[in-house]
Amino acid sequence: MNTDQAVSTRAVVSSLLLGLVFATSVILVALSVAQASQADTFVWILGRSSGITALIMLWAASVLGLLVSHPNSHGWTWMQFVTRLRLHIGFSVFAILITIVHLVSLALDQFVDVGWAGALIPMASNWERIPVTFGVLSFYGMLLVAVTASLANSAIFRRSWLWLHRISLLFFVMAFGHGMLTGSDTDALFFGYVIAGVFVFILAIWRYRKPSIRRKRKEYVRDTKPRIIEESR
Amino acid sequence: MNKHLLIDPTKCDGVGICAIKAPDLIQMDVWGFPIIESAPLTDNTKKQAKKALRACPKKALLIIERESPA
Amino acid sequence: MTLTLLPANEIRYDVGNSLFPTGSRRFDLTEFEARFGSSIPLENNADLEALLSRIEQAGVHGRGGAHFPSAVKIRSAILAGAGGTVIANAAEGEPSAAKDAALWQTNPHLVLRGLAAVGALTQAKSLGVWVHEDSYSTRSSMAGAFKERAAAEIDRLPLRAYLAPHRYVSGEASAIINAVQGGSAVPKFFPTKSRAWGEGNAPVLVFNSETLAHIGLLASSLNWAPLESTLVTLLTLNGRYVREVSSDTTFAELLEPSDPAEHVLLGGYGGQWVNWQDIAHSRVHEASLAGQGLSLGAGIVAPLPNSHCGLIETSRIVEWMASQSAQQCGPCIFGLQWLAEDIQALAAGGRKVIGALDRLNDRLPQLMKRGACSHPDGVVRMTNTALEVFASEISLHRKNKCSASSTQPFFPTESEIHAV
Ligand code: HEM
Ligand code: SF4
Ligand code: SF4
Repeated sequence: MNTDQAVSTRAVVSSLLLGLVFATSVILVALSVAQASQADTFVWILGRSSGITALIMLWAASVLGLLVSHPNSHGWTWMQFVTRLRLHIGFSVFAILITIVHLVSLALDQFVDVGWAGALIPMASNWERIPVTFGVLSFYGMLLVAVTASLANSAIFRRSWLWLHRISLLFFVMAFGHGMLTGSDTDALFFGYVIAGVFVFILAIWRYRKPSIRRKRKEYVRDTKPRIIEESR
Repeated sequence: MNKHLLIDPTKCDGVGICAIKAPDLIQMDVWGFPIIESAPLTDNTKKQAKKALRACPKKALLIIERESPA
Repeated sequence: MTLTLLPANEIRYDVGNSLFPTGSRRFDLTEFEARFGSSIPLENNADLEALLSRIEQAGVHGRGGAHFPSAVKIRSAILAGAGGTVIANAAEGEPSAAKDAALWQTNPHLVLRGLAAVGALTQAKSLGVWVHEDSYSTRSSMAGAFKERAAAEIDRLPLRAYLAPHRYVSGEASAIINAVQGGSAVPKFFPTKSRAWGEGNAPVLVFNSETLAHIGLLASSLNWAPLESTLVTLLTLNGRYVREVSSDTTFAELLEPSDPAEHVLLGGYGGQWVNWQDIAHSRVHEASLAGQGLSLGAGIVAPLPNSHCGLIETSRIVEWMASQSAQQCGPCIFGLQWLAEDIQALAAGGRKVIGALDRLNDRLPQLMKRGACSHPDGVVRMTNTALEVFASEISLHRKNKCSASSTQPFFPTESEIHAV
């Protein structure tokens, strides 16, 4: 392994570490707040803090995804393209990992009647059936998006991954709806939700306003067939 | 005969995965498209080239054998 | 070899040189055969080998800068096997180019003779002419020649006309190959050069019209000495002239001294800007220009009138070239768009000049050899030389001044060329 490669490996590791540190710190803060108040609500607090963290990670993944694919983003110099893409992947992986923490803690939670079935099967939760279903669906959606993106080079997903990837914004909306409707802190965090949501909304409009180069190409190629006329013999 | 990594620019959509897989061979330009090292592949970079080639969702990369870098 | 004055967008041809007929009308088949004789026999291997070695000895080569020896190209096609298609490229993408149009509108039979000869040499299964859909004058001259050949039963191979959409890059060799093989008329990426002319079951061989005219001369029964000449389109304020220039002519002899120019655009929109004194005593001859790192490219010589600003003209050219990208390769789509904007900033002058210059120095090298075809490379080369040659003009523009006295555009960006 030469030095350049070492540098790039370090960059991957450090961006993953960044996500890890960020995630654990949010959870730890939440936990210490919980410890200070009631010691027996560990699982409940873990469920809520990991939920918020997962949402923030998903938000970051979506924002960076849009920043990676914006048609003008290539000229931006404030952050290297490759760095943006690495962070996008890093955040999306952690969004999923922390969502799993969230899901497990809710399944084990004694205070709300969700259970393993409710946490894994749509419409199976007795507590807040519809909002929980949003959460479950968006988790599967995230999994689908991430798995297809990782297998984008395979014959099966080569054509579909980008389409599925674009739908990920829908899962983001679902996850946000899930968070706002179930979260007991929604009042306190209301403005946070609104600002973050509006931010992604504006970013998405900005990104999708211009056609991508793929569309442009197809339009061009369509009308360039030559006419052939046989004029002699 | 040397091995070279080449790109079919008409296929590449600038997704950028290749630049992560082959940092010694591929740099993204300011427009978000990969610039490929034109020097012949070495034992070390050959591995990276293969990884990038496999990861590219557009199958835009190829490795060919030829006399000199042209 | 005299110059004829003509109104903009119309073209007249010189009188009395060897490729062109007297007057500016088309040679019909009878006139053509009276002057050039009939085709030499191309029946057996000995005939073919004799023609091929004449092509080799005469040093016939391709045009457009690559300057590849035609005999080598034909030999490698023969190796690739029979059954291909030979195409005469009559599509000049550039609005300032006119030499192939001149050739097709006055002496189509000569090019067709060359085409048929290459077809025989390579044992092709069909012949074709690639022409822009809207080059009506060229097409009508060509159609007349096709009819006469059909009536005289000259062609043994099917001869087709391919009407290409009028875009700069649709005349690019890989675009032609792509379309003849059933695809679209947009350039295609070929990993190795040789594959571009013959591999797979349908090899396609593309030749420049002027090259075929030279082969046509060698395949004519009246003994024409091999020509060491080049067709040049001369772009002036009064219009375009097409001249056949012998290889010992210098640029000073080519241009009229009445309209002094300090800078010349050589080779066309993908060519090079040069200082007039650097080429005044050079010969109009591709091989000797190569020694100076120069090329005739598409055969265009355009002395910039001193009344015009090189930066403004360069900006117009780049903008047009950017609009002609086939929109396939990212670096070409986005790179040329950016390039047009920054050159526009230089042309507009003022405070933005410095930033634009910095970006140009930084990014121009990134654009080289990044497309499937050489379209962006030509623009980069032209821009690079413009930055050198017009350095003092750039400083003027920075101070919001400009040396131009005319606001009329000089380089054409739309064209249909008519023979008169
Ligand atoms: C929870 C998981 C994920 C979410 C929510 C997500 C979200 C997004 C979004 C919203 C975009 C913008 C799409 C567009 O407008 O074209 C995007 C782009 C992108 N994402 Fe993800 N992503 C996730 C996981 C991944 C993973 C795991 C990878 C790679 C292995 C990945 C690679 C990419 C790439 C390469 C792009 C750029 C696509 C383009 O060039 O248009 N994503 N992502
Ligand atoms: S991974 Fe493939 S499509 Fe993406 S930038 Fe690299 S070569 Fe282009
Ligand atoms: S380099 Fe430009 S003109 Fe050539 S094929 Fe690519 S996009 Fe088209």
